[in-house]
Amino acid sequence: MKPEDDLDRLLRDTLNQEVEQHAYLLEGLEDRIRSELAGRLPRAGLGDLFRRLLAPTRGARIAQLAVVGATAVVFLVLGVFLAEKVLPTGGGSLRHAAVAAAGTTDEDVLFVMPAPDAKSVAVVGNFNNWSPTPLSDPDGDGIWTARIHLSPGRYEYAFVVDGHWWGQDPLADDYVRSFGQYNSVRYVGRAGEGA
Amino acid sequence: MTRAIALVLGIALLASMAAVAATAPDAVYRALSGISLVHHDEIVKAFEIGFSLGRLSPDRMLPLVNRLAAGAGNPQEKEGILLVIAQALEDDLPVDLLVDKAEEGLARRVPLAVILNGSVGQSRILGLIQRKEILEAVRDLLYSKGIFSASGKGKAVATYLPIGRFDRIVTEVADVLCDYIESGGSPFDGHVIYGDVQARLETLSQLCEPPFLPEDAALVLARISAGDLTSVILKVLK
Amino acid sequence: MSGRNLDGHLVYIGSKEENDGVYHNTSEVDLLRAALAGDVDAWGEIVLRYKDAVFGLCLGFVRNRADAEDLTHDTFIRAYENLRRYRLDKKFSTWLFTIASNLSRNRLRHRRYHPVVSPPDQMVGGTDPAAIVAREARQARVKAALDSLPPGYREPIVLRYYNELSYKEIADVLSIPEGTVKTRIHRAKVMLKERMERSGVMKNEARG
Repeated sequence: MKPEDDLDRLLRDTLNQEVEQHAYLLEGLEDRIRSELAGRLPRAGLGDLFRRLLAPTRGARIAQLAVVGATAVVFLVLGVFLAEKVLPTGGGSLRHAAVAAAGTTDEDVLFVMPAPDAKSVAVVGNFNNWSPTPLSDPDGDGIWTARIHLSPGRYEYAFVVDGHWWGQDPLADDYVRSFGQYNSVRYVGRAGEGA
Repeated sequence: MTRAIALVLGIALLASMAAVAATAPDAVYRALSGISLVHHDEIVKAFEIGFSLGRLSPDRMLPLVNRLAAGAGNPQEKEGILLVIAQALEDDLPVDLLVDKAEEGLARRVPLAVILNGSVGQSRILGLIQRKEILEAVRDLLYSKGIFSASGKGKAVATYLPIGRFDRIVTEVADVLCDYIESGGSPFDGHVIYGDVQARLETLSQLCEPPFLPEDAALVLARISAGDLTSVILKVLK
Repeated sequence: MSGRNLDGHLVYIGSKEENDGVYHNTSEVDLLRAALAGDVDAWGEIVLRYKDAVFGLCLGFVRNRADAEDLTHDTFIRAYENLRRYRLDKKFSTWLFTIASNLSRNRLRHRRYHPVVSPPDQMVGGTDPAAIVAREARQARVKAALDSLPPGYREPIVLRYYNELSYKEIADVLSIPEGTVKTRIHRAKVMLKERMERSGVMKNEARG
């Protein structure tokens, strides 16, 4: 082996020092790995998949890539074609109410918020980019309402009563946490259910 | 007569172009130039990819960028929010979850740093960075179970779903996990997490215009396990 | 407490007490056999023995502390899940490092730039005496030079100077010919010298 030069020593020292500096990150790693593995349910039949995923021999990998490449091209074409058909609107904007107004499965969803002393009540949600859509109380009985046209999907929302967010609508299907508060959830387009 | 028709058609064409231009990607790029960005080119490039893949919609991005530009907060944090979305697009992930949460956070006037990094106070709040990690972990989990997106890389025995359906499944599973974490659930109650994921996927797949099919939901639920979901959460939480 | 034996493997050097933990003195082969049979405690001992080496490899490859931490974790999980694939007559460290290397290269492919949002690494000893400051500055320049190396050149450097693998082992881990390994290391050192000369490091070395 050739004699070490200054650079060799420097590289060795630097790389070792870097690891030492961060060794604290590895504290207890073996315990975490142990509990993670111990907590897993035994699975059968997936070993095959993993084996294929980790094939270290080049020949096998090239063969795999060839098959994959061909399959991917076929499915890419198919997928783009089918995506157009399956998705009612452009990818990801399923929740965009205004644009989807033309669909026959859209519903007018009634939002109700009892707030007798409020000056203003609005609803914010993922259907209006979280900017307020006002509710109104024409007969002054303290029950504020709004009908919003929504296409089928899952909607998160909250009411804003005089600037204060309130996320526990009794009429909601579900509740979720968000930024330490609650949001309400409604599903639109469930078979046999109204707004 | 023909001249009148030509005029009408011309006006109609211009009007439709104007209508399209209002929500075109260009509006988003213009809005971006109103924020001082160190990584401006990279962000624009990633957004271009997002728009072309249908993973970003100008209708949703424009309000977000406008809110960022107009609102208070330090430029590095504003850029951080855009960068996480850009990086997610670069990493071939669906970003609806990130865009929506960013927008909600801004609407709630949550401090930008919290939107980005989350916080561990009385109740746990996940930041965009953690949400992106969950998206990635869920996506990789599906890949490891042989479920792929039609545009993604795949191997051997696999099931390919159209991008839209695949993306939506990744988004919904990730959203369930985020909610579970923020509700203070233990990562080790895998069966509970699995139940939540099952409820979400099954409910959505049974809507009259579902974002993905019941068989998609069944496929995913058959291949992932409670332990897998525990692993995903542990991975992100440490 | 861990150290290196002559082969460059990290081994656990601890008390020889029989009572002090079941797997202290168990041979690697026995640990692997036990792990293969589902004994996660045996695997825990493997993790203990190899975590520094794997972390060092990953950190060297991806040059990002948080990613390296993730990758270390993922490596051990993936390796355990694939233990069936590992042939007990081959060198375990090479197999393990191959997994780490593949995961790291994959991570690099997906991360084309470092996020603005991750905090910078802490500089140790900022207000310490001059010698320590000088050493930190020198190492900082080496690190910067390493960061700027193309990954294909950096990887064999890490495997050689941190993991202390032979050229043959490096070739196995990276799936490249042994001759290529030697060329890359030589070229990488030339590049590193150039970059460090520019920032004044090597001149200091020559003087000192």
